[in-house]
Amino acid sequence: MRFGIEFVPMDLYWRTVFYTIQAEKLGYDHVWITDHFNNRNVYVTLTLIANYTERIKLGPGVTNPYLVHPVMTAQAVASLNEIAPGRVVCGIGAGDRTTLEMVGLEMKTPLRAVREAVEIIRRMVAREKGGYEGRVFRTTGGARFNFKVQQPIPIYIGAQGPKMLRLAGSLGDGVLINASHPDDIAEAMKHVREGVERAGRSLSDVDVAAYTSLSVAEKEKKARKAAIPVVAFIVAGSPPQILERHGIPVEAAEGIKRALAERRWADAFGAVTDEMIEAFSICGTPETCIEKIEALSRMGVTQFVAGSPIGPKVRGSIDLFGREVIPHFKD
Amino acid sequence: MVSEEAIRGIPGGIRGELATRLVDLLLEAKEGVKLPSSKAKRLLQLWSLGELLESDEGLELLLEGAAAVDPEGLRGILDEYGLERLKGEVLG
Repeated sequence: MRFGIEFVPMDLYWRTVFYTIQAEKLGYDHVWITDHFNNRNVYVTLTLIANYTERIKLGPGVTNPYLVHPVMTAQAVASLNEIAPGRVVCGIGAGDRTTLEMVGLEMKTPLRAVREAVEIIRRMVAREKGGYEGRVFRTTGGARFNFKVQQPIPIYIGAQGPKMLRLAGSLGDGVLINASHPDDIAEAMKHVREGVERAGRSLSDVDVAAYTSLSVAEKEKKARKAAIPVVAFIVAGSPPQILERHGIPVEAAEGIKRALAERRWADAFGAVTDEMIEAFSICGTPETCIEKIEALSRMGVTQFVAGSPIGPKVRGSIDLFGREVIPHFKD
Repeated sequence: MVSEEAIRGIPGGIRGELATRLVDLLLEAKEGVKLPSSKAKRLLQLWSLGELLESDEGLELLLEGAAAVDPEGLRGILDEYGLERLKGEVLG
C-alpha cells in the first residue's frame, strides 16, 4: 500500500510546502494538490514542493481539461518533471460542474474530453509527431514541445461515476476514486475492473487510489468533530444513489445543502450524523484508521490518499498518521 | 533581531518543545500572511534539511516569525517558559 496526502492550496503556500516536507519525512509516497481557480495556483505550489523535497511524488490532483487545455497541462507537468525528475504524476478528471459554470464553461462530453486530454498529454510528453484529431480537442503537427521529457509521467484519472471509472481502468496509469467507504470502493472497483478487462490490461497495471476524507486523532471524539464540516459538504454534493447506498435520507442531504448555501453553518454541521461520518470519511484513532484502510486494501486499493481535513490539527494528524498508521502497512 | 546570546540562553531541556510550540503557532496563526517571504523560504529550507527545530538559526527564525504573525501568542508561550529576557528582545 502506498500513501498519498492531498492539500487544497487555500492556505498560505509555505504552510502547504511545510506539511509536504513533514509528510515526506514520515514516509508518505505522494502529494496531490487540488486545482481550482479560486485557490492558489496548483503548479506554483507544486514547483515549490519540488524545490524543497527529494523523494515524494507530486502532481495535480486533479486538474480538468475545460479550464486548462491539455497541451498546457502537458507543458506544466513536463516542466515540473525537470525540477523533480521521475517524481511527477498527473491527475486529471472532468472537473466540478459548479466551478466550471462560474466562469461560463459547460462540462460537455466529459468522458470524451478526459480521454482526449489524456491522449494529448501522453503524445506531448512523448513528443509524438503528427497532429491529434479528436472531437473535443485538435492539435496540428506543429504542436510539439521544443524540449525533451526524460521521464515518463503517469496519468491518474479522477473518477466517481461508472463510465469514468471504466475509462480510468482502460486508459489510466492510475485511478483516483473519490470515496472513503468500502461499499463505495467495491462498487467503483467493479467498473475499474471492467475497464481494465476491456482494454486487455491487468489490474496490476493500474494504481488504484482511494481519495478519501481523513480525520485522525488520538481521541475518537476529536477526530469526528474535525470531520464534520468536510462531511457536510460531501453529503450535500452526493448523488441520491450514493446517499441511498448508505441509508442517508435524501431530504437530510437536501437540508444540509440548503443550510450550506445560506451559510447557516451551525445548522449544516449540526445535521451531520454519525452515519454520514462513517459513510464519507475515514475517521477515528490510528487503530480505527488501520482497520478501515485494511478493508480498502482488501478491495484492491493500492494507494490511500489522506484528504481533507486530515485531522483537528493538520501537523499533529500528519505526524500521528505517519508514525502510527503508515508503518503498519510498510513494515 | 534576537541576539545569539539570548538564543543560547534557552535551556537545552526546553528547546525542542519550545520550537514545536512556535511551529504550531506559525502554522495556525490567522495572520500567517505577515511572515515575510524571505523568512518563509528560509524556514522551509531549514525544515527540509532537518535543522529548523534543532539549530540556533532555526529557533531564531521561529521566534522572529512568531513575533511577526502572532505577538500575543508568542508572549503567552514565552511567559509560560519564564523566558523574560528573550521576551524583551523579541517583543520589545
